[in-house]
Amino acid sequence: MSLANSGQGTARRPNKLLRNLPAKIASIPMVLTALVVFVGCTLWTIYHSFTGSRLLPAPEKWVGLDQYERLWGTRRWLVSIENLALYGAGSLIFSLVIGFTLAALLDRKIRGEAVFRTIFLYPFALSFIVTGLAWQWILNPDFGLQSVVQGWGWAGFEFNPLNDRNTVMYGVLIAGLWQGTGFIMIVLLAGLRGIDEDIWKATRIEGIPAWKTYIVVIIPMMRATFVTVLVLIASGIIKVYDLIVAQTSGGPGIASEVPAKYVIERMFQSQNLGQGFAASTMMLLSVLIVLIPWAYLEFGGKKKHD
Amino acid sequence: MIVVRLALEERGQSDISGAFSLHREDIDMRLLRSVLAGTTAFCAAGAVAAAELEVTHWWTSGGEAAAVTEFAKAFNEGTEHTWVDGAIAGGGSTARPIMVSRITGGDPMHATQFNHGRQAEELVEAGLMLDLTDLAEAEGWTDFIHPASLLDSCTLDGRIYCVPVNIHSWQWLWLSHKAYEDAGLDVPSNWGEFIDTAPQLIEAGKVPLAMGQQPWQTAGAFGVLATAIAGVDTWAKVTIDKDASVAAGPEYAKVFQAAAQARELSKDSNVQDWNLATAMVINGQAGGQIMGDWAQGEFAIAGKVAGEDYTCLPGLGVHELISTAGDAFYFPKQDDPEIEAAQLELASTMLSKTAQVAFNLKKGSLPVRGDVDLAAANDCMKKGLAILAEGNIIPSGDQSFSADTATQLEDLMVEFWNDLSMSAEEVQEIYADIIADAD
Amino acid sequence: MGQITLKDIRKSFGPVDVLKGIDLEIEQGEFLVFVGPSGCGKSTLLRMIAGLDKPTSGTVEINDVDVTQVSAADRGLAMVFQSYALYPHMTVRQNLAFGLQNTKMPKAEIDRRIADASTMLEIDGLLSRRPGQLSGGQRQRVAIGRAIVRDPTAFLLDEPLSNLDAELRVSMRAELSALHDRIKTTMIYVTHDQVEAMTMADRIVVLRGGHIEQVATPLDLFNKPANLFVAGFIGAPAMNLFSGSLENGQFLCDGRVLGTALRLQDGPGTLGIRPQHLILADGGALSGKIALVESLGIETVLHVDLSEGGNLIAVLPGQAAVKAGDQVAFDIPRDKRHLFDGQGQRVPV
Repeated sequence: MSLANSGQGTARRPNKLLRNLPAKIASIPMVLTALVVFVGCTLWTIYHSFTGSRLLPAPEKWVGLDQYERLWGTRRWLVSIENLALYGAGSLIFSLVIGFTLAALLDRKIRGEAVFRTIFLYPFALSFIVTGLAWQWILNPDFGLQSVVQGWGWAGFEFNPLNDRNTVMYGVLIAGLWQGTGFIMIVLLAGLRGIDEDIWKATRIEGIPAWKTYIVVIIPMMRATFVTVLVLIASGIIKVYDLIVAQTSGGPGIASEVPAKYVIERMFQSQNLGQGFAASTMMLLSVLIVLIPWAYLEFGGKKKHD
Repeated sequence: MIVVRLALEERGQSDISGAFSLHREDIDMRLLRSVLAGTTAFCAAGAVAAAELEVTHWWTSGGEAAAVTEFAKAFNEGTEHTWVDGAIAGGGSTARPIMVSRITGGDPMHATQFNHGRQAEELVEAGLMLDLTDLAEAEGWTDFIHPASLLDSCTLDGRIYCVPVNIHSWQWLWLSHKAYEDAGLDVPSNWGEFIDTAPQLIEAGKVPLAMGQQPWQTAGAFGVLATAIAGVDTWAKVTIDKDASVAAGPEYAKVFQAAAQARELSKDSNVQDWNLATAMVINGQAGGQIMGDWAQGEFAIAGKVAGEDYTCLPGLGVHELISTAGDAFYFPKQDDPEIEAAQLELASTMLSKTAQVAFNLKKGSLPVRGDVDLAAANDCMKKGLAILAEGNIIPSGDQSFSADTATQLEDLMVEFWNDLSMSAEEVQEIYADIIADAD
Repeated sequence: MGQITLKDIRKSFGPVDVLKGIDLEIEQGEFLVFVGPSGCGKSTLLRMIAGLDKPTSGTVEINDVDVTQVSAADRGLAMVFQSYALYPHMTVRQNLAFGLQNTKMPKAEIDRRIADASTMLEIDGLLSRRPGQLSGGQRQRVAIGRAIVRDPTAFLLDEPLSNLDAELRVSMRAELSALHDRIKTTMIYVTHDQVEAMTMADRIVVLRGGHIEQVATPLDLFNKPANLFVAGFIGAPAMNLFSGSLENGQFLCDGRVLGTALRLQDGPGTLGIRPQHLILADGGALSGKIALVESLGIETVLHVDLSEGGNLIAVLPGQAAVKAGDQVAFDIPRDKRHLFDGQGQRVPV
């Protein structure tokens, strides 16, 4: 709202180009960097996805949509997309649900909150590589969780998600959630603490149960926090590449491949830049498909309100 | 990098952490060099030109590291120059992208390993590699390098750009005597017997076939099965001529059936790395492993004796042949003539008789020279040398497929090998499609 | 009905006693104000009544029913908050309806109540807006409306006007009083602003340190403060207090005789006189030099440094012809003085 307002404010001034001139001059290098590095390189990549570039970029080898046809005919790519969708949906839902539940429990001012907060936040300090390796060991049937529980006498206990191609993504998801949920919880907890105490009193006087207050009142009030959290989760979903490399290397077989890994391996191992670029362009496209309607609703829709 | 050492410590480290820190030192050195260009040139006039050459490779397992040290020793002792080891851990598929990006990114090392064949093809085409033709003619490489196809793989438009250093053949089946003794069986003498005895091995609690799950392993094993089951001619039609109709045909259908069988026999081998799979054969947990002759290095380090503790069957004991895969060294172009001279000396050293013998004995591979005496070679190497001498050789996959096609096939094989529900017919169809598009 | 009885309410947070035994009868239909400095326990006491917090001991009775263990929602009360506590993502209508819908009240009844309340509060034009689009005064009305639609046995108002600007506060004060006259429901109002307390209350409860200092009508509180604290707290500017001693019917302070013919026991004491009750008189008991003159038009406030030490504040009606530096003297009218004993308790003159 304030954004839109200030936008209108400047529009009314006749010399809006000259306003804050020093600040504008100072930001020129960053603007140029952004244009050249982000926009320029993106366009370069998209162009080369229509070429038959191999180890080195070959702008003259125009092949049209061949790379894309091959991409969508490749099983590994399709599996990668499926995996990312599964991981994305799982990570989104579970991070939010678990993160919010933990935050709500901590918000009840339980004893030792600081201790719990630290424990939950700790995994976030680790890199995905460390997390991936740690969970590779934990989920290893021979000396991880399974053997520990079996050692306690539950001989029939079986928990071996990483070695079954049907469950491997859930094994990855567990590691991803373990690492990321604590931070989501902290951000949501901060958002919860930002809610006026009086709102809680008001709902108690009105006899609204706590769970309903969370869902109907508190969560809608935490919209800004949730946008932040969604961005954080989304970046975690993109970063799953590291986790896969460390935890499963894409295996068993190709059961836990992800698009980013396909891109990297096509570009550098297969020495087929064109194919890698085509895949990365598809990734960009899918991000845009999510982002553009959202941005339209978020920024385009607001103007009408004011 | 001329004699001004600038009190840098001796850089003989071969461990990986050392190798990584070296890169930075080298960059620093280069910077210093340009800053001190004047003084350097002045000093150089009176001194012997000695250079430090950074050599990158992915030989990090026990046998491999021991072998590459032989090269370093020969270079350090035989010339004025110093070998700076730049080992990159994680195998070829990890190391190659790093090497390529350093070369294309303007920070080339002085020499680097590739599998000879097509991996560095585009780098050569782009003029990033040193032309070795003059040296090759002066030393008469064409006269002693055997088989000649090795040098062909280093040649582009009549110019030579790499030094083949060894021959590695994929075509071996390694069998554990202990595993068969435990099961009360005779050690099989070919693939058919191996398949027939597999059920008894399983009964004895053994895994018949050890198979690591790195993609190149399953793809390589499939290539071995293809030559053994379909025969060299059919294999050549598919691999060299890229004839998709043959790949989809009945001859190859048998290969895929065999692969499906092998998959069944290996389903209990829960290892990733090839040397761990080899370890299963060494300690008798597994009956056998289809693996290249580099596996021999592991047997040697474990103190096992060919013919007593293990048996090697070239071409799975069906068609005795050797594929001429192997390693080669390329020398990325530098703008410094002193370095270039040192690079040529290194090339020459690697092909010298003594270095070839020392290196290949440790590595378990065959030398690229037909004129060296390998009296010290073991049983398996001798078998290989004999096959080589008879000329029963085929080019390797690296020599026939581009990296692009090779990784596509690897993806397919690793999927097939891990997904027991994927039928032989299904995988054959996709395989034929890839061959149809292959280059 | 809306009679509330508090019996010996005590509340401790750990070692800190916030309420130290509160006994109070709140009459049906009464407008009762809790006033006191911050930390006196007034908000805590309101929370006890609301059921948002349980007392450590003591009971809360509403209409002679013990509700101490009854949840907030089931006490039939409504509450208005300082921050309004409106639901920002709901329209005004939804804000009003939300609590009622939760009790499964028929829709027609909800609509009727919203219509009544919004007409009464003149917010019927705002029903489809969101709180973010309303002014502070409008938001306050919505918050009150949300309380009204519940048709409660009593309203609890927690400093509801302190977020408004001064002008709006004055008009809302009047509106609240008018509203109370109209619906005649018990209202319990917490504030730290004595003007609000004085203007709206039927009775005022002055709290300090977890104790009730005095419960009385506004004028009784002003005229007969029960003790030194109430005397100093109620009235602006604050009452001038002189501590001294009673000797033989005379009140002595720093050697001055400030009061005579007092039929009281000897001993230490305090004499108080409201600034408005001082009379300018040559040769008066209190003399000194004017340090500061505040001319407010309707009255003039003088800050005087007394000759014998200390200072006082006097309020003269109209526009007095005095200026800073003038020597002045004041008389203390006999019937306007307040006397307190050594314990600070009021002593009838």
